[in-house]
Amino acid sequence: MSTPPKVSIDQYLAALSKACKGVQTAARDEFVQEIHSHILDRLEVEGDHSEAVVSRILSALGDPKALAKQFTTDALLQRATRTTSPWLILRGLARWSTAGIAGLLVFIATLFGYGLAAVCFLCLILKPFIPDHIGLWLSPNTLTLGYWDGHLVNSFLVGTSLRPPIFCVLGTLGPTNGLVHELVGVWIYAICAVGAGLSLVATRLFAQWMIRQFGLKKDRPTNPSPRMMRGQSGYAD
Amino acid sequence: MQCMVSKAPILTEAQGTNADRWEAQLRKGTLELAILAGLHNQKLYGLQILRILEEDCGLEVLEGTLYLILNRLRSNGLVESEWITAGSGHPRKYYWLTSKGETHLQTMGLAWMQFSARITDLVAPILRKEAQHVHSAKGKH
Repeated sequence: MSTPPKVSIDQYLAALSKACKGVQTAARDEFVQEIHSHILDRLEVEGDHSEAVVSRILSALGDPKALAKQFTTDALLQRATRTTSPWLILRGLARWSTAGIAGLLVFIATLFGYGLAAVCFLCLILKPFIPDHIGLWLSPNTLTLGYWDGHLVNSFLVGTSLRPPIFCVLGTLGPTNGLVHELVGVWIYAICAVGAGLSLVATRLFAQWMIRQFGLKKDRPTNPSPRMMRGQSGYAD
Repeated sequence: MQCMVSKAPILTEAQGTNADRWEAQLRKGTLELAILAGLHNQKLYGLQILRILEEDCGLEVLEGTLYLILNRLRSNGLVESEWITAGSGHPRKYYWLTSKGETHLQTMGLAWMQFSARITDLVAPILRKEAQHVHSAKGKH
């Protein structure tokens, strides 16, 4: 029995480890160790440690970059379900969004939720410094929580804006003309504090529920895919 | 251990790409059930699970993909794992079912049995008629 060609196995494991970007070191190392253990098991079964056998074993495992990509997505999504950090949740969702339309929609919805929380938080911070420009503004056809530039013609409103029947944006819906009223006065502090808290919590719960329901399901496309079609010997669909 | 997926091809005559895709999807959909069933009442490591899938169930899985699925099952609390160093000299990661996994397996198994029985009831008479038709056509010749 010859010694297995260590270089190609090491190269495979190094490529796998390197491609697991963004995954916590402990999780990455354990995954690589498990794949290494699998290679050793296969070599033990084969008995023959020739280069051809090693090559077949590595080929059966799949492309290390594709394997790492899927593992990274899973790891980031799993981490997102256990954290309260908006950054980690958005990072996991950004990864999921590259895998399909469901991930993209959840990412956009979550981004909007956290954006709403950010607007509320900014209003809380800025209101004491520019009280005449921060508030809940009613202008013709538009309700905006955020900043008003003080003009009645071509006035510029930035924040969270609602314009019935369908427009709801973060940012601005464009300049408006006409009277602008501030609706809530000092109650803006309470509204923004409650709004920021609720948005943060509701967005996190929504994102984590969607990840558990749809993101970490077994039937999410895997890359590389299982080769289950009769007569197909390769690992790519 | 006997899996509920036949090793024999499900569609013996269908050669079209669509039929192949359908069969691939069907087999893919049973993977989780087959893995959980394989782990029933025993601790196994990756290669042992692969053997059960391939030899008992006729399910060919990209070997790297198996570890991704096991990782997901663990994160969902259906299986637990532990590194054990036995006779071979290198550590192996063994998996076993949690109580949540056992419950999930029972639920999935029951759903599979009921569903497959109904589909069999629907399809079996059609295949019998087809077989009789072929038999009688051969008899005439």
